[in-house]
Amino acid sequence: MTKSPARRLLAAIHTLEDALLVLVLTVMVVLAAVDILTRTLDTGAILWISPALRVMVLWLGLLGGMVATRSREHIAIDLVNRLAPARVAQLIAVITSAFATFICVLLAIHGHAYVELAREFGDVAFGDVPAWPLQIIIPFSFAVMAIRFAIQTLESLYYGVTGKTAPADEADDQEANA
Amino acid sequence: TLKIATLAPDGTNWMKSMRAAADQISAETDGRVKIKYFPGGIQGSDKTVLRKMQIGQLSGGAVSAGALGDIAKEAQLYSLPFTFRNQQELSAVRSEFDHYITDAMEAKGYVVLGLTEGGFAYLMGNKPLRTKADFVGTKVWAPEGDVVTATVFQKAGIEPIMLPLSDVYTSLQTGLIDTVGVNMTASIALQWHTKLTHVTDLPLLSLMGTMIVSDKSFSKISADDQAIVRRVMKDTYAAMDSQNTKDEEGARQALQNSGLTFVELSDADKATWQQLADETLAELASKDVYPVDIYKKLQARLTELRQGQ
Amino acid sequence: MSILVPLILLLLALSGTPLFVVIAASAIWGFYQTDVDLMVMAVEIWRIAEMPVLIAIPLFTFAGYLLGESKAPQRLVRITDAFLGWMPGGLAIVALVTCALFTAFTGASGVTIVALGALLVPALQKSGYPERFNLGLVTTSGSLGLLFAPSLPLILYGVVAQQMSLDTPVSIDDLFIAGLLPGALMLVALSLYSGWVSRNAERDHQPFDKAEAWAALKDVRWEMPLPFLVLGGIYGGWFAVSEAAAITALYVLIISVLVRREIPFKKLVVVMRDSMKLVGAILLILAVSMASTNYMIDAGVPEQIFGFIQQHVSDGFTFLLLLTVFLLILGMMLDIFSAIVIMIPIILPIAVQYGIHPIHLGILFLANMQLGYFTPPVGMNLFIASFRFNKPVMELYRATLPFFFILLATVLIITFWPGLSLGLLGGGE
Ligand code: NA
Ligand code: NA
Repeated sequence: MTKSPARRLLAAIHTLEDALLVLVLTVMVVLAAVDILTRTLDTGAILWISPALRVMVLWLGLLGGMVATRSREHIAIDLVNRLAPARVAQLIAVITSAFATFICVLLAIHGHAYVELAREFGDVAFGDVPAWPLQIIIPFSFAVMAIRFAIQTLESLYYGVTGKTAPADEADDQEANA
Repeated sequence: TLKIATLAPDGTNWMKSMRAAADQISAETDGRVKIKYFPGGIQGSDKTVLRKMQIGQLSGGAVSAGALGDIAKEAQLYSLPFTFRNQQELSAVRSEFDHYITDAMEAKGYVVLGLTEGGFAYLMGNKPLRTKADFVGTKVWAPEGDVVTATVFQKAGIEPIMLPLSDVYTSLQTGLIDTVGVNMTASIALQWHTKLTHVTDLPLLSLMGTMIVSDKSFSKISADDQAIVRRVMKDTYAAMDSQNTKDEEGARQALQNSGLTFVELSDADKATWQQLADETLAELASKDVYPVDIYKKLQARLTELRQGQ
Repeated sequence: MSILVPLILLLLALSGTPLFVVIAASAIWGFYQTDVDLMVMAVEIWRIAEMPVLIAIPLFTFAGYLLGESKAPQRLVRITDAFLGWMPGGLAIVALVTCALFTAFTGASGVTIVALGALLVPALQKSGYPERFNLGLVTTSGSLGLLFAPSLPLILYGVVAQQMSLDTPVSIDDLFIAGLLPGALMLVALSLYSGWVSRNAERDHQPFDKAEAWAALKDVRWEMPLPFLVLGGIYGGWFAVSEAAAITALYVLIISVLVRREIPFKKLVVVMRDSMKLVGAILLILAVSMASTNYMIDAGVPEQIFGFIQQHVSDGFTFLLLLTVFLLILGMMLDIFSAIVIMIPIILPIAVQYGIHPIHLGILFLANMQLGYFTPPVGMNLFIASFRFNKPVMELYRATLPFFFILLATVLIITFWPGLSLGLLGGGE
């Protein structure tokens, strides 16, 4: 099956995200184990590991949030959609996605301002590591989530207005990127 | 309204006098200046509180002097290891040296409303800890982000386990740590003393509490009202000093009553600790953690005081 | 205007807006109203990186997903059948006790549901329990165990109460002892219910077979060290929770991918991604909840509600009854640590006036908060379970309802029978 360039770009981005997620998680498992080893073997613990692990928790959470936004797998109460007919549900989805876009944009903008502030004040995360490069995941992830919610808004609008159903190969894409 | 956050829990004597001060300020300014407290660390760690002051969510905070080290290294002046041998020495130099801290903070945009002595940190563990050798195999806690404490222990040849305050009790319970450095009042308040048996009777470093308010919030108050706030807080903090000293004495008695052993050190042991402190100071100086010149002045003054006795 | 915004947010939430968006929006709206710079949202989100307890979440979640995707559930069923097959509700009771001990250490942050649920729900399914029961059991167990030592909320209560210079001292060790019987009461009540549910299941009445028991034991030789590693390691004082999580994740990774080879490399990537999606979903909510909790604290909301309740109280009995309702709502809305730090200094002095023992108050406070975690409609663990098991929240409401009423009954017993908490301390009636 041939794919449009846009699709390919999207697939590439997904692969990149997955790779980053897998990398951070793997590093985290290994580092956490190293931390215990050095401590028990009395070779002297490595002081930066535990704060670094905590930052990784935030990174994993936000990266996970980005990935979950692709397929809109967020924790939500889906009451109205289950009661409403399909066409109405699509239009409700327009509203909720647009609202999510708006909030994520706000979080990204103010997250960015916060990172700038941390940079200006020279905040330190641990040891000699400055905080701002680690904090940049906050505006970045919410910006990506905003873009994804925006795309979903347009999609829902299109399918809601035209009454067409979403193409099935979208689901296949999700699997193909595994 | 001034919004002030602190790690100290509600209901403590300390919070009671803070609330009394707030009432007095409100009365004297005819309700123009109100103070709202956020006790118990609900606004986050000292670091988070400082950040929230910068973005204007909070006006101020009652934080440890150590937490201000990132803003002005002068704040570390009294918090270096083995500087003072007892509370009297610290009290004696305050009138002469406090202004270095307050001036440095004001230059960075913070008004220091109060500076108080929170007693000394003592080593507490589950066996007598006299020499370096006694530390082999101990698991020592150091507060997260506390460079000074961490460096002392590293010089003693141990890697401290850095944990936030909230994890210490559980970690003592499960044995992840077995040695802490803490003042006597807090060791009882946090109930750590129930998991410990020995106190090394040597003051490690003095713990100072500060109350700071950001210029941004303070300048919203009229000059007259500012003067009232400064005066009432200053008086409250001064009264706190003597209360804290009494509390520490009481806590020492309570620890003895509950069966903890106080371990005396020989002069030789004390000398090795002093050497450790000197190495620590040298390393911290190279990292520019504290104001070296002012600290030398402080030490000279202390030497004079000791000779005078 | 003041009522309109919450109403719109509620409608948006019911229409399927991601919950983290709704919670973030409510905090943003609140801060905006009070002229606080919205950077505060990022400050609160960054606080996630300052909480060491959270390290356990991705690690245990990952380990739980790996175990769930391997054949570990089948092996767990086999060994419980072999050893406890004669007992009605055997596996369910094993599940309850394991979850309670696990929660005592991890807090009720949903880790139990995510880490153990992945293993227990398929296992219970294979053992013939009804699906709804399994979901209800695991969701409920997510907060079961807060009363057992050394749960952090219990310790925090002790520390906060200790500061208040009361006439009756509150020691943490006494709280640990006081929590034993009430915690056990909850376990026994749920165990009896489990036994009753499985009364008709054929496979729960097997005679003990030596050969099968031995074979089942050999079958789980690789998983065998895990409970000892996790529970034994933590209770024995060898590891902190985050360390146990790290060891578990690495160990499970090695046995399921390299030793047993039940998860090929390609699938490993999918498991990693799926497990982190869940971590993302949980942490996003946690992060924005910290912001909205922070707003409520800033605005003094809990104090106002409690002040209202206090006006309508005349005696100790009414006080406890209203307190129960209030704490259930609080438990749904605030995280347990903020709830303790904000409310205990307000509630405790009043409770003491009505003759309630501070230790008894601590136990009933936590018992109520525990229930709040899965009280419909917004108990946090309901959403975590809904997401983890890919079931609509409505179904979780139905699944947890019997558990909710059983535990509500025990909470009322705990609340109105101080002797249960204080008996072991020699201070009961
Ligand atoms: Na809660
Ligand atoms: Na929570």
